[in-house]
Amino acid sequence: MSDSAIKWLADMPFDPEVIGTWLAVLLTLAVFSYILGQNIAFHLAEHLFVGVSAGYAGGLAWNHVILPRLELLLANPATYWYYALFFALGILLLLRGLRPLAALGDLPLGILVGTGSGLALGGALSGSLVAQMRASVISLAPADHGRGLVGWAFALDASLLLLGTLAVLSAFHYRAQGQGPLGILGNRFIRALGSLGRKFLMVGFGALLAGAALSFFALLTGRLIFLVSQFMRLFGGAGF
Amino acid sequence: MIVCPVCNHRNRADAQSCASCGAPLTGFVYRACPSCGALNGAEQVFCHRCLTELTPIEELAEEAQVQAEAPVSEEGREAVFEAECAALAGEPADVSEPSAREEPTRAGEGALIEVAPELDTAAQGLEGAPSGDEERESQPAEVAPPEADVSEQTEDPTVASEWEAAEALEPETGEARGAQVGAESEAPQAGAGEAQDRRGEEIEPAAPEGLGEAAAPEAPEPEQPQAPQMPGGIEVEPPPDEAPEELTDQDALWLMPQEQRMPDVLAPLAEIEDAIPVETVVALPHRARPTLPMGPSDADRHDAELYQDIAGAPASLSSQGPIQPRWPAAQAGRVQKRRLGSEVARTLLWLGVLLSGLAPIVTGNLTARWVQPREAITLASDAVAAISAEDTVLISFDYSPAYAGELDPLALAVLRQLADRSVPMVALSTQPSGIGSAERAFEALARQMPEYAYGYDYAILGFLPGQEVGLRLLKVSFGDAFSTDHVLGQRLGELPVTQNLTTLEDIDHIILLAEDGAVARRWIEQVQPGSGIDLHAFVSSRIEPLLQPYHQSGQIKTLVGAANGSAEYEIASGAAPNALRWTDGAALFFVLWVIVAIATNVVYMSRGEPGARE
Repeated sequence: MSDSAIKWLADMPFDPEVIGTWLAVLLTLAVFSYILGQNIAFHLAEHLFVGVSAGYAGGLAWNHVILPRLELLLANPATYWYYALFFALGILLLLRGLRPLAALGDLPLGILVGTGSGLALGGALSGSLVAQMRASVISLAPADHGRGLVGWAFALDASLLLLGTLAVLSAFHYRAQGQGPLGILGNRFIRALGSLGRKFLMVGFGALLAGAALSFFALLTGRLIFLVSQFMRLFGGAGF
Repeated sequence: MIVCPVCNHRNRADAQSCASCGAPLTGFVYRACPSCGALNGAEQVFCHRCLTELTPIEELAEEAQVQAEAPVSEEGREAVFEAECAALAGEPADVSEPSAREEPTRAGEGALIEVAPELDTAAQGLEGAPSGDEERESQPAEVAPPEADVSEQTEDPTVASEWEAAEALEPETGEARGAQVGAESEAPQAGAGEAQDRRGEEIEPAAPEGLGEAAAPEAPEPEQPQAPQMPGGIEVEPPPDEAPEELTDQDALWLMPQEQRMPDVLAPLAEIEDAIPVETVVALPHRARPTLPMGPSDADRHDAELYQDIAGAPASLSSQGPIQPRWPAAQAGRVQKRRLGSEVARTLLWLGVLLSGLAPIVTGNLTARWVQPREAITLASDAVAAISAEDTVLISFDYSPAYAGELDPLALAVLRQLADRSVPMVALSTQPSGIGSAERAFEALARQMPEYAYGYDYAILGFLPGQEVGLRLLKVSFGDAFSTDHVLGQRLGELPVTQNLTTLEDIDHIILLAEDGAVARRWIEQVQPGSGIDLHAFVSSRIEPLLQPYHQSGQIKTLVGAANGSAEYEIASGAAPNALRWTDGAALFFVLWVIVAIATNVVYMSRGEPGARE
């Protein structure tokens, strides 16, 4: 910020922080007004939020991602020649907005999608699937977990883990019905296990709902306390 | 053919029991059309597909009765069957048993024909066709009159249509059915004689209508029956006088040349050689019985009005929308009462939540002393406390300002706990808005601990773009991921806290502050495997259940949900009470939640089943 701007702000009769606080209070009330129904204040706050978020992300990307690398490329092109390639791919990607040249953006888009998908898939396999499968293989013997009730408690926990895993997998089991007495018996078993799996899913979703409710209540509490404390401070300490 | 009601096997029309399962066929439900094979109900007179006239059930019963009474041996039946086949093929019939002549005739093996013994199958009516064509075999043996009606036939045969007249036969002379269409003056010469309906009553052959203006062809001579012309030009010897009685009317019609069956229709085509024969069913007019249009019922009118109200009213997201559907009077009062009740309940719920959120301002931490940290929170606090000053900690601020109210207190508690032991910290974010959260948290820490200096004790690297790719790059090289820091803009090698950082291997602990489960999983899947670095997750309570499996498998060393764990963590770590001041509101909210859950269940159960309520 330039010296003149800083001096102008310092000479203001009131603290510039007050403007930010007033804006925060008004925007918070505007968002809360949605309780009464859709209104122009809520729409204004909504559009402002989206616009500021996009602008902030764009400014951050330019100032801290693109510009430093561009400066490096221009300062030392022999060393950072590959940045030119990346910038070229980025420009080609932007051409997707022009219908006649949209096909040129297929290459960088393909690189993006392919690389991201490959990394995501590999990470999901090694980081989630294999690790979780390995963790699901737990001994059901109480003696392996400790002595007395502690061992039995852990064994029960391991049993529930195994049962829940199989039951939830059965809930998503879609296959042609088996024939014959053995097939019919298998169908009934899978159906019963799937029904139990859906109960497990309901409990899981209930836990997620409870966590979400707690989280949102904490956010509400924070906003309400902000409104009250800042608002009271404004009226208590403001001179205008 | 009669379809067995037990096994659906198709049996002969004169069968008494099913040839497949032996079940009696007296009460059969379906029978197959002799022309097209379509299944028709037992009571149907015409085939629903090709409109071929079907033998009435009474006649079938009479045939069955006759067959049952006639002492016919199996050999006799076979002989008759062979005779009929021979008759169709033009060979002289060889009927050994006289009683076989009384048997219902069959057109041949595989044919689907209903039997009408009193109907004459005249050989005199059969004349040689100009050319045999195979389509004739697929044509229905009998064409249904366009306005045929069973009631008309049975109640008032004198006003039978022209088609009935054309199809009527004289049993004594054995003339073919439908020999003359539109040639009522020539009908006697053609052998139709006096047209007869199925009941043997005489009907006047009516003048044809709508069949074109072509003149009717000359009728065949009835006195001297000609040899029928089979498809393919096979000449058939004229059967004896008794033979026509063995052929059904469908057979006669089938063997009759097209010109005689449809003289007016085919007259324009008379001069065309080798013309594709016209499909009888398609050529002859047949009229479907008109159905009366059904008007809307009262329920339909009510639904239409309701739809009009809903579609025409302006949309509103508020529960107090202007839509007022018109309910029936009996339901209007109940619906109104129910709506008012739900409105009151919803308003009370909102007020309860609002008061719970404002409670900490008024109550003054009444419940703070009851808060006891759980074992998991204590272990998490101990794990963070075990980080020494020689270790370098990487903190990822992956939450936006929207979740600052929940995660800021926990983040500040963790930072304070680390800063108290002068643990060097390096902060970054994989979300653009997370950098602001990092700046805010470290500004608050700097206010509490001014001696904790930027660049020496901590640094904010900035935004790490690329999601999975960025995290993989971080594992390879810090310098490629961040050329400069976020605050001072200096290169990483120039800051004391980051000058020794080359790759992720130089980091000893990772603390993750996240609001989104996908972000947390990204760290777990891309960074944690193979690196051996301890990952501590302090996340929003919204995603804590999603990360529990990773915590139980050991991929996450510590897991704390912010909304329900911040206050406990502050007690366990001895940090300044920020979240602890909100426990009164959380307690009131919990009580409200329980009351609402109990009340809704009681109300729901008191109403009974949904069907019973209506």
